[in-house]
Amino acid sequence: MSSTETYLETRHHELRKTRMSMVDGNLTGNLRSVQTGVSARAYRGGYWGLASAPADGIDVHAQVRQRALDNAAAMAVFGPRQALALPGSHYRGEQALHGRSALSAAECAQRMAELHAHCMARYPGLRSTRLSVTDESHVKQLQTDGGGRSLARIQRAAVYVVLVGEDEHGTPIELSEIVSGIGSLADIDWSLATLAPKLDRLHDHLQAKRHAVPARGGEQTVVLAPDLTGMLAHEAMGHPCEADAVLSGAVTADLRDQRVASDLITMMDLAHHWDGQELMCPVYVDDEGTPADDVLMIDRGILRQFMHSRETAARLGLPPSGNARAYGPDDEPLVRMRNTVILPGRSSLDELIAGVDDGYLLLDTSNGQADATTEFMFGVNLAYEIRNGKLGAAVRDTTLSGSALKVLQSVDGVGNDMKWSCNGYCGKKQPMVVSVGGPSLRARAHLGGE
Amino acid sequence: MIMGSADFATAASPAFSTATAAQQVLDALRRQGFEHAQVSVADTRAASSTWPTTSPACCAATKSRKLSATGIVDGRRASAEGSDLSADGVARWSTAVDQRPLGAARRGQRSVVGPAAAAVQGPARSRPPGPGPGAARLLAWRAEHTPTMMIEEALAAHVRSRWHTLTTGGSVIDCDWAGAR
Repeated sequence: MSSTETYLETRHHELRKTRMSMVDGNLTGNLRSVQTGVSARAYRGGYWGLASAPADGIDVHAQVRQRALDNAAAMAVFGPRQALALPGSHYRGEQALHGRSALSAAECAQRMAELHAHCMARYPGLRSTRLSVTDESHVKQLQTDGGGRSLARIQRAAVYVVLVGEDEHGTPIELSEIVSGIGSLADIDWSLATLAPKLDRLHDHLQAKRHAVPARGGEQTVVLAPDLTGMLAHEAMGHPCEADAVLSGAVTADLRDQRVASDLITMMDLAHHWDGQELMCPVYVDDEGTPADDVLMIDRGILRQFMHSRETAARLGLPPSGNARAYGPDDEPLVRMRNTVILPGRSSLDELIAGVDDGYLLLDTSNGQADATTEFMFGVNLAYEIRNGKLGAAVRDTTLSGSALKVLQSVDGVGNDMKWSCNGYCGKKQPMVVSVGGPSLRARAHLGGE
Repeated sequence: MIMGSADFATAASPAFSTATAAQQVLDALRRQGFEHAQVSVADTRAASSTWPTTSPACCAATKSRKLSATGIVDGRRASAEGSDLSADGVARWSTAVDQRPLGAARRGQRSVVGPAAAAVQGPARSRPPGPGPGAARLLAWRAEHTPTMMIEEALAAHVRSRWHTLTTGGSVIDCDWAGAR
């Protein structure tokens, strides 16, 4: 479009969710929700206007389009602004629906009850179990003034199993096993046969945690399991590479083409495929109609690219990457991640551990946060000491913190293992479904002590 | 709230009644055999201005409807939420609530029984002419006095929500709430 024209896009968005919860064999929650709406977004005079309404109204498309135009015009109160020529092509195509027919509530409840019964029978001394299953499906039909016509889908499902025991002092301790993937609960494998060996390992960790010792506070050599690597990639380094954060003053703004990590680190935000496989959160077209491309954020330690919407791309004179995503029918597209990953290396996990004289293996994280400076802090709820290259005692719940830039620069080993997950939400004004992936990493970072 | 959106945020929907929609769903749940049920229908208008950086970027006006309900049979319950409040949508929704198995009863769980209540709170209209000029003054002050301070994210919004809650026990709660954030 030229800088003097008005741009409009219209989105019909259906969001379906299922969530069932079970505590100690009792089904405590069974919620299904459907949200359907139409939104329009207009760009006029350098400002955006958005309007949305339930999809069942009469003439709703025409109404929201006019309202969006009015809202964009109303922003003139903030003063004149140069309209940008929004770059990028406009996608035409439909993303097909794959997958099996959805499981009924009865089938889900039956499977959950079987899992609970299995845990209580197999693990004497277990105090409690908590299970939950979630299903989420987005269908977005987008029409843009640039000629874009697309139908995009996001589908993901997750199963959470929490085993609750108590330590040698009688204090409750818990660990969780999470299975997540693309599709519905019918598409991911959460059969008892598949989960049983995973639950056995989880219970072994829980038993070890009964006698856990405190971590030594301060900077330590740590081996991060893939779950922590994925969180580090997303929270600590991914958000500062979102171009709107860059424009807001993120530390990455001045670091392009400079070394920000060990040359062992390559980090990407992938659009839809990696290594020949469709990813858990495949985005072929974003919510402003831009065909989605992979973003190479860190190439062998050098910061290269940022994630863009059309507007941030225009402001920085770069091509859009297809990262403008809206969570719900009422939401405007923001620069968001899709499938963020640190690519695997060549070392086995055993080799990474064997190279540590005195440090820690961090296996699971409970939560995390980071800011635009890449400072982060994650909860660590499953960890072991490493002494002379061998695993030692389990470690009590602790925290991992530091600057992602410094931590990634300290990496001296990258595993050849790889794990993807897509449970939970990314938060940035709106929630968002994303996936994260990564291998094991060996680095230096701060652990919380007693 | 802002300029052209002010009326949008506060205008009622003459063709839509939260009370009627709630009553229709409650009746449907009774017909399906639920012993107890609670139904809420909300009609919400929001107008907002967002600044993803140090400059305002988007003026949004959204309206949404939400129907949420819980039904109880034999001390077991199920819940559903939906936004499609057309006749067909309500029919599909009440079927969705009736998904067996329901959740287990909670100790002491009771249907709500009580008197009717109505509440009105907050300004139904944002104060003219909305926060646009105020926001513009704030941004001008930042540019002059603290130009190195970056605004990472900002939002100014006026929200008006009307909702109606009914229970099989006879409770009727009607609210008209408005506020700014």
